Amino acid sequence: MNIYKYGAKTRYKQMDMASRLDKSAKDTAVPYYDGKKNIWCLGEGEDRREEVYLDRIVQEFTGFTMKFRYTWNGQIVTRRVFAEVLEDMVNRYDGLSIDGFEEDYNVQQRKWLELILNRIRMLKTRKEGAEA
Amino acid sequence: MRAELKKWKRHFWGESRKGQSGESVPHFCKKAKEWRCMVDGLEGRKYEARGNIEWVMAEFVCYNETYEYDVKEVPGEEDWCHGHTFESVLMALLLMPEHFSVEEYKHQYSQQQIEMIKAVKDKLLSMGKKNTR
Repeated sequence: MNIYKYGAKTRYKQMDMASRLDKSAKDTAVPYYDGKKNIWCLGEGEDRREEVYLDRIVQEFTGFTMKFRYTWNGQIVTRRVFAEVLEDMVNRYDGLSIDGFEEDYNVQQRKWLELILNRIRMLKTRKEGAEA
Repeated sequence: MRAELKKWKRHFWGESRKGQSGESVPHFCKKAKEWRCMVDGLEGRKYEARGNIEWVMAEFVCYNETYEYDVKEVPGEEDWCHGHTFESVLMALLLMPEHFSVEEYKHQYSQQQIEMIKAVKDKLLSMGKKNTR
């Protein structure tokens, strides 16, 4: 029984697109997917750049830099990929805020971050309460 | 080919019931090099979401982004294109840059995402790239 709620079809579509970008890798001057290493690449030989996130490789490709800023413990942290902000939230849920940097995020991302922060804080509070 | 497809499936759609950690907060499994989290499934069953951070976080809070875009010059009703991550939008753009557009859906994107899409499209078209099909 398929118990997954979301996007099985979406994930196959993503996999299909990535495989086509792997097969079309005759032109390495354009970002392409290395299916064996599961990474995104640009260039070849000594000039080959490899990244986990396509967003990062595309920034190398165009020279246009994205920024996702937030404050944590009084410091401003800047990430270049939204997925890295998601990663940070797991450990920095206490005190992380994007107030003042809303322009870096779209409406959906802001809502998603709020939902994630609230849920992590709720689970952590519940866990600490149970251990006390 | 089969081994490669299996690897890609694990990367994009990690699923296995072996070695579930039971952790209800997303965490990174260094051995498998993927994110994991126990989430509520259908009919009250819990399962472990596995994969990249965006997938796991979407399952974690039952919410994800939707990014719509057009790839045809005159899109028809049946040509509705969308992705649930910005990465998937970029993938579609790399494959079909000729008439790629998010003009109708700007409200779903941030200003820097719109500028990034424009920068990628301009560069691809200046390199003479055509739609890959």
